[in-house]
Amino acid sequence: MLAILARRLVWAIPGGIVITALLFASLAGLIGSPAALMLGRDATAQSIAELNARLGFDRPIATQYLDWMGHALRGDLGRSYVTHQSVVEAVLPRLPVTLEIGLLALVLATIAAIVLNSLTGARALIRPLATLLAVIGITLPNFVLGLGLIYLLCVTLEWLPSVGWSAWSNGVPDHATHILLPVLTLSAYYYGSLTLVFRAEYDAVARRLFIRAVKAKGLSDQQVSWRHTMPNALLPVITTIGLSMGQLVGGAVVTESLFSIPGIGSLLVDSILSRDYPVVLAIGMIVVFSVVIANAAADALYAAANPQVRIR
Amino acid sequence: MVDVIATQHLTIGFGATRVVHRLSFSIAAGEVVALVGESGSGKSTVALSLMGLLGRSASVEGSIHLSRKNGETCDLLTLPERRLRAIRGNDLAMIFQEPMASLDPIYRIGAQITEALAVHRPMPQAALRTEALRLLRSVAIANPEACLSAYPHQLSGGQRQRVMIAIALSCQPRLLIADEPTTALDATIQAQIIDQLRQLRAETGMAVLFITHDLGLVREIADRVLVMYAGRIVESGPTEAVFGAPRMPYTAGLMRSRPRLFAETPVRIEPIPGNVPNPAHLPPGCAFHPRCAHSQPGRCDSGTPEPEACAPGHQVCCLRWREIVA
Amino acid sequence: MTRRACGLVLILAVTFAALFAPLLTAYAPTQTGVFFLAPPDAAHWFGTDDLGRDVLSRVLHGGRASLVIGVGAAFVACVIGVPAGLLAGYCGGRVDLWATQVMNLCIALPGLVLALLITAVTGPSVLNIVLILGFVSWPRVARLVRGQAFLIREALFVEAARAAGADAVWIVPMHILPNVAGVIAAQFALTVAYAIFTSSSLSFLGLGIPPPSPDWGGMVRTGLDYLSINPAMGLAPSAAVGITVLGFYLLGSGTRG
Ligand SMILES: Nc1ncnc2c1ncn2[C@@H]1O[C@H](COP(=O)(O)OP(=O)(O)OP(=O)(O)O)[C@@H](O)[C@H]1O
Ligand code: SF4
Ligand SMILES: [Mg+2]
Repeated sequence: MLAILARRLVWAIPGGIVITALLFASLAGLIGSPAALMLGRDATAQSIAELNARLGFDRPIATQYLDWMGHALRGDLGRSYVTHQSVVEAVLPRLPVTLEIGLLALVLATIAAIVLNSLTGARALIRPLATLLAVIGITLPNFVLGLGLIYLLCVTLEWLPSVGWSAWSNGVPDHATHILLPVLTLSAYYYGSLTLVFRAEYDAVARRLFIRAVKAKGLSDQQVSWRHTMPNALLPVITTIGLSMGQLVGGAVVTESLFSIPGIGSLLVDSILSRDYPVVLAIGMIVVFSVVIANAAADALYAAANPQVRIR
Repeated sequence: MVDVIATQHLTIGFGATRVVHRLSFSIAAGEVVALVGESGSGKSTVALSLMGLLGRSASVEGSIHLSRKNGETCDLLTLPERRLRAIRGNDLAMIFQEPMASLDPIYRIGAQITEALAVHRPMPQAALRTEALRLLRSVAIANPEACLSAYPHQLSGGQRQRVMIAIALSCQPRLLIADEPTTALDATIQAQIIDQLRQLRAETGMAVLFITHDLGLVREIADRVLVMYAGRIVESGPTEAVFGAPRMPYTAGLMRSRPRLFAETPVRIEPIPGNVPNPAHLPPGCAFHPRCAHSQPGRCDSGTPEPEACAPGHQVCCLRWREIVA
Repeated sequence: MTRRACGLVLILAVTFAALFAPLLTAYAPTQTGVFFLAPPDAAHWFGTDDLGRDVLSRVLHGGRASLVIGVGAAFVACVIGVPAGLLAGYCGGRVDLWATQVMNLCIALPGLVLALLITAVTGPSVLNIVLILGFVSWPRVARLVRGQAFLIREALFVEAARAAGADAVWIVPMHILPNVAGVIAAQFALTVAYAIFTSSSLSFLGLGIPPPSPDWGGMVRTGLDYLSINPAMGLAPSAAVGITVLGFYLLGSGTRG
């Protein structure tokens, strides 16, 4: 299992390098130079060229990329043009916040999708409800859903404190009440897409012959569902988790921005708005690289969870 | 002898289409009864209805009386699902037509063999393992320890079918329903599995409902034969009587259409002309009449034949059986 | 069928409101007034915003940009994605293998983040956003078309080869496109939903069409600050986004089934 994981991750590295190089090239050269990003739309060609030359952006892109990567591997992501803080110092403390929200949302969405669609009691009632929630999750952008939740739970009912962030150090209850809505908001889309994939697979598995053979042993509907149908339907869920990682990152950006959460996503938006190229580049690279790695990990997990692949 | 199972007027429909019509038969303890008939005649449907596994789309009428291991007798069609579960896999077990697809691909064989046992007779893990090994040996699996920890895709077709038999036998059922247990396998394996079943029957004294197309096999192992055509039993009786003197033209046709490998004199194989009728559009009268050489216009296409005894224990459903004999 | 009908009704309603916005309200969307942040009343059904503009009028007019962006981006995505998918599915073999790898990789990339980065460089005009979102969503179209083209090709080749050997080369391309048309139509609607979903998120983050023209995402952003004074300021454009995306999603997912 670990060997498979390791092998697939190693294979993902070339993919990651290609993608980051592409991103680097498109940011630094193809779409507009970093100087264009920094100076905005109204800049003249001359001022852009001057700034490019001053910051070394007139060198070949391959050189710049290798240069950046070389520094990055040594733990140096450059300095912010706006705050003059080291980018590593700006990013590092925000990383755990984003990871916490993202992972919680992911776990919540996965469990909810699997459990709601595997229940056998009152299925006629629960399934339509699960579908309704899934459609809501897929169609409502995070800011719409989040705004609705804020209005309902914070403004009207006053059950929860308003937006903002409270670190662990402020105590668990405070932390939990602040993290609840962002996690719910972020998990909605994931829950929706996982529900669609899992439900289709679950129903397909339920029609397979071995399910009938298992029923013939005298198992109850619950036992059949939880021991046989559900586990057999999990494989495509793993792939989907990998494939919608990008969507989760996008959702995190919007959610953090909506709830004023000090994570990577809100830092990215702020840096883009303040045209802080080194920070934008660093976060873009981190995000893209993690998406590629997460995909490879999902692939490896898929292989590890599938006995037919695992044995060979 | 006590009947393990007895159906009365068992009628099964999917939607508006009746697939099985007023089937009445019984199987005594220790008896092997073969159910034969062309593809689509409704054999698997009957088997699944006995197990209560037809699903919601099917409507089942009549009665199915089962005498349980604990001595009580109950009508399976009126039992609540919870009590049916206690019977499935325990008093009644089934081997399915498709051995390749009937095991869960993600569990090891050991876990799948002990599953029914764990449900019906809870016992400690070590005892379950011992029992699983014993079961695998009883179906002549060469290396039972290795088999316990194998996944289904690592086994051959013959091994998988043996495992399916071991699962079916795990709770020592009163009745084993074997739905074409060997059609998917090659001839040598087939012979081994049949031997195994015969031996197990002798050891455990369970009754067997054996569904097959293979009349040679029926002659070898069955005490009695039920011949099905278009959802009805058209002839039934002791194997020797039915094979020796088939009374219904359809049975006789089946016999002639069977390849005989070691016949003393060369015999022509004569397939029955025509096809099995679609259950939604059954011909009126005797459903076999469009294909029957003895069919008499004005008679066979109007009156429905009812079962009649032509010899002790030998019943036939044909309006003209007396004339045909003569 | 019912799904599709619900989607169609929602889309028609939104389109109607956007088209006839000037006739449906008495106020221009950019016309400021003296009553700031007024709660809903008979004159202003959704109240007024922080500059005294009528919220209802802005929501209705805001539909225009959203619809144009959604449909435009879906069009761009299909123009790139359909030929790419057909080619991959039709050629099969090595071309298909590579194309599938690239599509899967692109689908896994964070579309919103890419759109954010590109918009930051190019500036958020309607045309730019249409191009960017079309560019971000073509791989999904391509992957779907590829799958269908592949299936149909297999089926057709068998049939055509049986019928008239050499003609297969001509028959197949002529038959694939009409056969995938239904799938493309469904995916078009889904891409519109995705594009409106993403473009409204962009404008919520401050990279939408520049003010003062009304724009749902941007209105929600401002409305967030006044949620306890005039909730309709944030809720009304939110609902508009939700209804529009839902409409196109229902149409697309209902058509496929
Ligand atoms: N779930 C179902 N819904 C509708 N019709 C069904 C269903 N299951 C079986 N049938 C129909 O019932 C008839 C009998 O089918 P059945 O599988 O019992 O035949 P069989 O005798 O077992 O055939 P075979 O020898 O091929 O296994 C067929 O016409 C079949 O189409
Ligand atoms: S009843 Fe008539 S048609 Fe039917 S089997 Fe007998 S002779 Fe043939
Ligand atoms: Mg059958």
